[in-house]
Amino acid sequence: MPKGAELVWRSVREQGVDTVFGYPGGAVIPLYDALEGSGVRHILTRHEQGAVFAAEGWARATGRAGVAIATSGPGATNLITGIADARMDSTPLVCITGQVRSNLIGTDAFQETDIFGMTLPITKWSRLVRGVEEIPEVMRRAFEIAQSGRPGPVLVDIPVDCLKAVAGELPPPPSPKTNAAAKAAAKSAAFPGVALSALLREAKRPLALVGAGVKLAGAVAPLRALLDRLQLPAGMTVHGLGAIAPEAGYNLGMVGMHGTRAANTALHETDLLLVFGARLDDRVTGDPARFAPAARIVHFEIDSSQLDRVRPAHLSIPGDLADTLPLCLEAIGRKPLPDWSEWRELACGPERAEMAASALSVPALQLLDELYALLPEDSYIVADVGQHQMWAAQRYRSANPRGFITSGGLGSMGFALPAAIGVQLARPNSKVVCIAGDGGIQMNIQELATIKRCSLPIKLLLVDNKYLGMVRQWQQLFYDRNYAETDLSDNPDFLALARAYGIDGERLQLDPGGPQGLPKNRGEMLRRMLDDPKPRLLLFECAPEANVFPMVPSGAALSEMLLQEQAKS
Amino acid sequence: MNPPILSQSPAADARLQAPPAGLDPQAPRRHRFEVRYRNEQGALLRLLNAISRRGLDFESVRAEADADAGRLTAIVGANPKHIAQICRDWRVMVDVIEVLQPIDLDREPEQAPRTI
Repeated sequence: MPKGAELVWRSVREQGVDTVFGYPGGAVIPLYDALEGSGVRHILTRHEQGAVFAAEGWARATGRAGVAIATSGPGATNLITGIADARMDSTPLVCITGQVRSNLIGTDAFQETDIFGMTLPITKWSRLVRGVEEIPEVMRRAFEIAQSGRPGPVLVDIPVDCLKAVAGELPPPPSPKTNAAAKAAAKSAAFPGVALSALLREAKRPLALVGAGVKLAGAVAPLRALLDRLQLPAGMTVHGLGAIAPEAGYNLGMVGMHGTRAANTALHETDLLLVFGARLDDRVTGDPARFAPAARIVHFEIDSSQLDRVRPAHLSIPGDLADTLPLCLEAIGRKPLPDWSEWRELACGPERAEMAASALSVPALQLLDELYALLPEDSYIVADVGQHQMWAAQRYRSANPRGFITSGGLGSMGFALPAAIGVQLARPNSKVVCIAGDGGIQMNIQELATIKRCSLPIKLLLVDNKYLGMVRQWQQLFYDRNYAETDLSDNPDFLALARAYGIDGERLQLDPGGPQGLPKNRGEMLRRMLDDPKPRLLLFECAPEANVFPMVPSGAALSEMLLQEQAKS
Repeated sequence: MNPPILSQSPAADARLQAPPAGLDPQAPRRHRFEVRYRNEQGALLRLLNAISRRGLDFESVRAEADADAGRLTAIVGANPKHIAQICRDWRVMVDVIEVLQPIDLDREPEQAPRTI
């Protein structure tokens, strides 16, 4: 009969997961003892936070649940930021933690912590295993819940004695449940097609806003078909990037705090806003009371708790976008729609100008444009958190729906490097570029060792302004340039640090005499990085006081965004 | 008689968000919340956390379970926005069976349950 640890690995394999991320410790030794021969590849990170972010990266690239493993106590608590991150960004994640022996629980034993209780508010579901026989069913439910509905993190806490125990007779697996009945019910429920069509036909300035839900539902194709039919301006949240074909004439780019001028202006002026799988958080809406003030809102969303949370919708359409988007297309039918071409041109024209012109004023934007131009379509950008993240998002134009991965909701600095590890392992034949700042990179820099150990050809573009740049930007604009504790001018030598981990790289410095302030040979540097079969660092030393514009100040309306020229004056 | 079940209807939420005429929409009012849930690990704490994470204080809490389900009854002073948010959060929890329409005890004191 199998031991509990063997049942865990068997469950992981049965879910189709072949790669997990973790860090061993006392309470999970039996799990690692049973690893060999399990058919599961374990990636040893150098910190549990690295493991959980790597599992998130793997999950976001594949759409399946990532798995992170940690021991009890500090190992488990080190997972918490990643669990919260997965919760905010709807990432399917199964965290397996070791726990002290069952008879020691509650005695403040060595490395005991109530990880079950600590993570209740940030998990969809969790279980403290009470006997070895529970393991198969608990694991099955964990994966099912993590991946169903709005995806999210779950936690399975297993006392070490349950991992070591030999299972007796296991309860029979439950008869396979499908959610076919629920889906059929959802489909048969009256889709408000007539009401939706009426709203569209009355609209003079309709606009679509696309969020991560479209990708999570696997509904990018029906979304594109719908938008092609409607031909109305469409913007994306940071997690929606890639869902709209970049060449589409209705593409407005990114919306929100650092969205394009065109997208935010159009959002402020629209009279009908179709929201597809976006929860309308404050970084997207600005002041919610003044968000899309003239608009009636139609909200398509799988998570009904998000409906009417920020602004009441005129029409709420709960459900899986894979079901509701085709119904929407069907409801609109073949009848002619109003001619919105004038509005579309008015709304989208500035975006095209912005994409061309603003690149000339900020060298980082120019460099990103040139980097993106060199990347194949199936590449992945994994961005950390800060100014570089917003620059990377603003310039991102790719048709790869999962190609832009970042920590959006929680904004976890230190996310990108380990997440890129997960992405590269999930997509070994794709180019994976990690874009990080000099602040965030140092939060999980130990994972360079994991990259080296696994020979992962990750490309690291490190944007070094020797500041916590985004905080410094707020200090500059809203706190009278009081740069309190954001100066990182004593950064380590990143190239030497990378070399210490066995990773080569080179430095790209600004050249005031060069085109767009960049040296003439930057193209060669980018190509050297991308063509290197090994991991490689390109250290870009950007201007210390470069800023991200447009910017909607916190609490302001989208129409009150600051533009570069205004900020200068 | 049980209060009506709060359907997953945005219209119902809109009604919840609309304060009675003449009242300060932000003023907290005593409400009785009631929810049925599968009585499994952590379910009760998740329900209570949806209230406490908003900085609200419990006037009373009662939880009981039978073979089929658990039932939580809580009396909390909350404004209409909080009430709608709490009910929405509850409805999407894995172990929640049904969320009942909260009762405004300042308006309908005769329906107040006995508290423990």
